[in-house]
Amino acid sequence: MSAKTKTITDSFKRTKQVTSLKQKLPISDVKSSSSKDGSQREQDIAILKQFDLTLEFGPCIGVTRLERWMRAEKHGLNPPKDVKELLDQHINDPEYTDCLWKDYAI
Amino acid sequence: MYCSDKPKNDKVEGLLTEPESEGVIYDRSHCKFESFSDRFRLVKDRNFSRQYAHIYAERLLSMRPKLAEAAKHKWGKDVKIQKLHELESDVKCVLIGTLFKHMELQPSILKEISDEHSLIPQPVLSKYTGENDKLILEDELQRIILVGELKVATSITGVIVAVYGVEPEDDKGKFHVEEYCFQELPAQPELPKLENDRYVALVSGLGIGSKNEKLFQLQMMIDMLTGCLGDEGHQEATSKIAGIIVAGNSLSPDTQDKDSLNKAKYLMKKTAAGSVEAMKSLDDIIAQLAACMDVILMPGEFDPSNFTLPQQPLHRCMFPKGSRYPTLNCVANPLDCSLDGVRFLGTSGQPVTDIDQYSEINDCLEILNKTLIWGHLAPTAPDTLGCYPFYSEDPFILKHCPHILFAGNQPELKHRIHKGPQGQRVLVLTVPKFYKSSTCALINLRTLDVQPLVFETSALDDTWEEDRLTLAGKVVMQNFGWHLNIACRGEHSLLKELYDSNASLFRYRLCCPLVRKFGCLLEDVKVVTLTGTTNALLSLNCLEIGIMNLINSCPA
Repeated sequence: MSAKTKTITDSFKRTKQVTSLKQKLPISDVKSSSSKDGSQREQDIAILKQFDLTLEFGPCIGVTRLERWMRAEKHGLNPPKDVKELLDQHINDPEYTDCLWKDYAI
Repeated sequence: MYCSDKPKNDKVEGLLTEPESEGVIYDRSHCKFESFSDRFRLVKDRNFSRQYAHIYAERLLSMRPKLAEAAKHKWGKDVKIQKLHELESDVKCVLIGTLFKHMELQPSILKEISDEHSLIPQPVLSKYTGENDKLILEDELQRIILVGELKVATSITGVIVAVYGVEPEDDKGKFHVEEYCFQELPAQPELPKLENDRYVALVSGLGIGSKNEKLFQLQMMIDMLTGCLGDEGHQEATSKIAGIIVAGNSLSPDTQDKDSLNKAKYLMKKTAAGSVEAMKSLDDIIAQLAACMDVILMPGEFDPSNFTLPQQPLHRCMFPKGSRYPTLNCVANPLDCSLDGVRFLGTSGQPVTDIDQYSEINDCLEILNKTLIWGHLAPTAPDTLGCYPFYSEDPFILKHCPHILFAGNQPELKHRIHKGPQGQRVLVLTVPKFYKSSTCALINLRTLDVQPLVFETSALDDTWEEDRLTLAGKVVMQNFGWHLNIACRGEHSLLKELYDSNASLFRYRLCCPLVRKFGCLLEDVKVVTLTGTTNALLSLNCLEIGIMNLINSCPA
């Protein structure tokens, strides 16, 4: 050991580990759409959230909205068709496909 | 034939003759095995991170139309079927929902971790029911307490029920049940008409790998089923047994080492699991059976398969000898299959045992019958019985009516024919644990009769050092005569005088002790089984002594 005591944190810098409950969404997806689409997008998401919160179609946590819609359709509960159209148009957008509570790891 | 209550013993002299170069050969009956258990196989997706709410939602949504139909049949087409949020006071209506039984004594993880100072674990009770249990009906949105005709003691969580009653104005929050009904028993495919008798053996709880394992009785059973025991009449009868279903717990609970769960892995490197030796023994047994007949092997609670229901089939790599035969079928638990057109549906007993712990019903056959009435094979899954979090369908719902419903690893062999409203006839059968009762059930596929095959050994301590022989068997009193069932094992010496004497003299010497003790007539004594391992003969004196001991030890 040299006169100046070296600690391990001299060789390996201490970095703060950030663990947050919310996973950050890729912001680029949202910013790429124009401002006119933005309000349309908000309306769409509002309709989808309303679909999530309608408990007659069963629990929404842990399944995608499309799966939930198909289950409701299979049991003859008449889920709204515009929800299905929105889901079909935006297959790759996680904001559309996943349920309201997707950020929380349940 | 010994499978009836008047067995014929005209061929027993064949045992006492010199072995011929060519004996009589009986061909074993075959039966066609068809599996319908695809819904229990978790092949495509194994997503364990899903919530269990979906399985309950799926159960309610699937069974609701069937319950609505049953309600209309029972209470008339115009009866009002309502959801809980549409309920009006003082109006009679029908509610359909899932039952939830609130029990104080039910083990709860919240209670376990709430008092951190006193780490007393909750005691394991045989029944978790109490006097203050409440019954609650839940549908998709709301729940309500049920009082009245639907008794708490005989109900369990997870059953879908339709209740007819009223919520009185002065007692809001409680629904007074006047009548209730469950799903109607679905249609049953027709029982195929077989010309000859064909039998299927059902056994469970072999319990290999513990100190109390009954290997001798097990070997006797295998010898009997494979046709090594018995005279020609017996062998002809045994050739009609077309297959065997092993309903779980082939390994004993002693093979599961609980300590290994808590010890660190680096300490456990050199130790072999207790189940390895036991699986080798099981493989030997299965290979012997599979060489002769169809074997359908189900996993049980203590077998090396997954813990949650549905248990996946035991992997064929564990049966190096047995899996070479195409007759070995490793299937999932629960089992849904058909043998020659007769539909079997059954489990290794975990659902029935679980319902037994959470209700006041004491008879295991009654519980199994109730699962048929409720229309669900395992209602307590996933509440108290481990279950895979299904999403797209609940595979335990009874969608068709089987011919035979069985549950393995129960305390006793009991059976009953359950008659459905549309003329369905279901044989409901509980199979006992072999390591406790040494019993296996024999089902006749033509008539759906059940006969127990008991392999008791009462004189096992009598060994004769001179011949190193062990004699075991039992004396059975029937109301039409005496039967002497003996099985022998060990080294033996040929006996010339047996060749020279005739069968009646042999019978006289063998049956004299019986005549002396019980004063019956010699003609009334029938020697049913006198066998050893393939044509071996025994010293007659030892045999006489052994039989004397047997007779003295049997209850008068």
